[in-house]
Amino acid sequence: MKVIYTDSLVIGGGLAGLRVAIAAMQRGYDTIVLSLIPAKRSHSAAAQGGMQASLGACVKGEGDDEDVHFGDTVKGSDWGCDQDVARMFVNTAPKAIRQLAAWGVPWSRVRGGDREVIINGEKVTITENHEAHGLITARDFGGTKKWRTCFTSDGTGHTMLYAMDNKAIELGTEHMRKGKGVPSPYGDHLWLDITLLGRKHIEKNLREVKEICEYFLGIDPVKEYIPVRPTQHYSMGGVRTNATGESPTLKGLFSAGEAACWDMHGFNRLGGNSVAETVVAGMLVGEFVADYCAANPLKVSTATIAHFLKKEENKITDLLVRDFGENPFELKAQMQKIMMDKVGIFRNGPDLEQAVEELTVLNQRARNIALRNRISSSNPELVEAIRVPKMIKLAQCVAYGALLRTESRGAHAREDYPERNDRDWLRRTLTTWKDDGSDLPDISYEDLDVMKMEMPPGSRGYGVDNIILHPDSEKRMAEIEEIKKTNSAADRLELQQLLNPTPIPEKFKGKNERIGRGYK
Amino acid sequence: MSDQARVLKFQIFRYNPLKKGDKPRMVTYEVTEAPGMTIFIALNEIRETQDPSLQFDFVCRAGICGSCAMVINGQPDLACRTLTANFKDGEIKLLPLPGFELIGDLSVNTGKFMRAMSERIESWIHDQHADDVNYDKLEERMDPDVAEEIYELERCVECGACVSACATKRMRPDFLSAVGFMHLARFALDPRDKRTDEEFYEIMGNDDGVFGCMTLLGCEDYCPKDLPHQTQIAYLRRKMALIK
Ligand SMILES: Cc1cc2nc3c(=O)[nH]c(=O)nc-3n(C[C@H](O)[C@H](O)[C@H](O)COP(=O)(O)OP(=O)(O)OC[C@H]3O[C@@H](n4cnc5c(N)ncnc54)[C@H](O)[C@@H]3O)c2cc1C
Ligand code: SF4
Ligand code: FES
Repeated sequence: MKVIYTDSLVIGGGLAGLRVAIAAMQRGYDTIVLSLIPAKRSHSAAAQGGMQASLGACVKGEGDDEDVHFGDTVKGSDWGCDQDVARMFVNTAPKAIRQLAAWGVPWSRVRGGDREVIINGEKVTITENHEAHGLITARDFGGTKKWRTCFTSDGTGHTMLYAMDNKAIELGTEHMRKGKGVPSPYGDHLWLDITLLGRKHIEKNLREVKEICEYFLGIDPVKEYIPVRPTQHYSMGGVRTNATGESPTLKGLFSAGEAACWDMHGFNRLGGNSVAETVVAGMLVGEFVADYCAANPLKVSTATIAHFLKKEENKITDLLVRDFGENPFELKAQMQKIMMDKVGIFRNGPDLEQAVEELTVLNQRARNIALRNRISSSNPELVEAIRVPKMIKLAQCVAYGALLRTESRGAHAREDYPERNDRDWLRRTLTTWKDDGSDLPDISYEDLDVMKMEMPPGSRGYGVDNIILHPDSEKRMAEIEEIKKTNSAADRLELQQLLNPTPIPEKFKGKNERIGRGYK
Repeated sequence: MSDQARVLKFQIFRYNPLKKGDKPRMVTYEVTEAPGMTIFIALNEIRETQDPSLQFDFVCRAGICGSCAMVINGQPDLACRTLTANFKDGEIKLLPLPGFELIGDLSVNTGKFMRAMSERIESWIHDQHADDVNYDKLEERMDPDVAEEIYELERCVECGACVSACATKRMRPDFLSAVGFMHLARFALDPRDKRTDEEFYEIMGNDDGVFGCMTLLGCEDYCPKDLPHQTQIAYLRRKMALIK
């Protein structure tokens, strides 16, 4: 057994993993990034839309600040987010953008003067301030009060990931393993019309979309409608952590980015808030990881390592010697179909119940996978055989959690329970697996404490409000009014400290400057 | 289009260097064409239904991540955005990108090459004051046109097509190649990178650098992102020629 020692091991070389690694390396800790694929090929590269941060430099972002961003984030989450985390996040996001600018991201900039834009399907002319010329600009990404999504033409994620990985290469090491792609299902579609945007805009800012249309569909989006269909493109939820990013149940395990339930997205994520989460969580959690390295000398028992190594080896050997059994590709395809048909955008009890039953059967069948290609190295079927059972278990967590949640909140829309029920469901779903052989995950709930909220649950400002109120909502609102009255001399930043005194690492505590407004 | 679906014939290079006794060979697979089928979709179908050992790389399947370059009927290109309908006779021959370490079948280690390239050209912003920047303050301004120009050169996805299409690289194993030049042009243009021309000369002012290029421009012909290799290589050459 050969053991490789390092102060911090980062699994995943997307934006979040790399940013955590950079933080740990900058604090002097040995760090290894382990990734299935070269870091620059991570999915983060695909985030073309952009990253939210309240810089407020473009004219449609005037008046933006951390508080407005906070409000949008909490509403977007349908009050399911952790408000401490959302606070840390919105306060740090402007610094994250500016740091990435210093590291090389060629963010699109404000150009003083008139320009044509499309707002609500209409062409209008807006005038950018000349004083803001050359500062980082932003665009609309839906669901926000201000234009807050910073971007790089049509390649935001690409430029962020390249700058981040280059910084990581400058600082240290990165190890990779080979990875696999994900197949795409076909099916019914809708039409997307972007012809109104015009050739120039499409060719510059939506070139990647244009390329996809031309190469994949053989159509010209400047003139023709684009066929589109819904697909899963983000996972809300993840490894549950506390506000420092550390697991509440396994000391020394931290999680950040899309894999984490740090929980700033709650039940729906705002467009542009997820790449923002990766870098901001990377900055903050990275500091906490380094703190952890400082406080805890590396102490691992080789017996523990040997135990787990043996366990994994046995799993692989079992797969390699089994003569007959299930085909992992087929199991995956069936899982995908169940999720698509029964756990999609609009959900209902009977469908979810069936989905849970069928997935449980798949879970059982997945214990009996056999390979056609029985070699232990460089074997895509073996990779699938290891991953598919875990994917099925994750699908079970989603479907079972959705079945039990008898309300509609954020992206969870139940046709049979259309109301948002704060009284009974203002709580986070936690799933755990007792052991590898369980048929279903155990489900428990973590209540959200309304009395600690900076912004108690109210109207989310989109769709029809159909809410069963939480008994504490009004109480907390009154309390907040009272605090505001007794501290009428406090500015917004002091007031925020009173309402939600979130601990932010010293490094990132400073107030953010904005053009025309200073540090207010 | 006829309603009768075509049967595509794929000839695929197979070789697993980790498997004892395995020998390089071409294997033929037949796949029934579906509407909108890409080479990515076809390869997956082959792997799932015919030969689970087939190795190839994809991540984004949308022409964004640069994982899937391979030689398709003699031309390097991104397999995920190549439609099978483009091939009139339905015969498609797939080879791994030459010039890179072979992992197996169609999978090559572009990651290792690109990482070494990044270290060689130090593909990051060089500014000794970068770590003293106060991020609470307004960011340094940049002309919007300059930002766009930098982005135009930064669109490279490190797919390796240009490297495999380069005749110079075939003769000079350590030739930096177009992907390296494109990154260098990007950093040379960036006002945030404080490297001097002399420092850039140290990196590329030799025959394994920009002076070695024979200007056959396979890079320009095959770059799936249509990056302006010819202009940028000429620009770097002029710039470097002025140094010594
Ligand atoms: C097409 C698309 C468009 C998007 N657009 C936007 C947008 O405009 N704005 C926005 O805010 N968000 C957007 N998102 C979401 C956002 O990009 C992601 O949430 C975010 O980039 C995730 O970053 P990450 O670092 O957490 O993970 P990733 O970038 O996905 O990185 C995960 C890393 O983990 C590694 N890995 C995975 N499994 C293993 C394993 N078993 N062992 C070792 N390593 C492993 C992978 O190799 C990879 O390096 C988009 C997402 C997609 C897919
Ligand atoms: S320059 Fe073009 S061909 Fe070369 S690696 Fe970059 S994207 Fe690929
Ligand atoms: S799979 Fe990403 S470019 Fe083809």
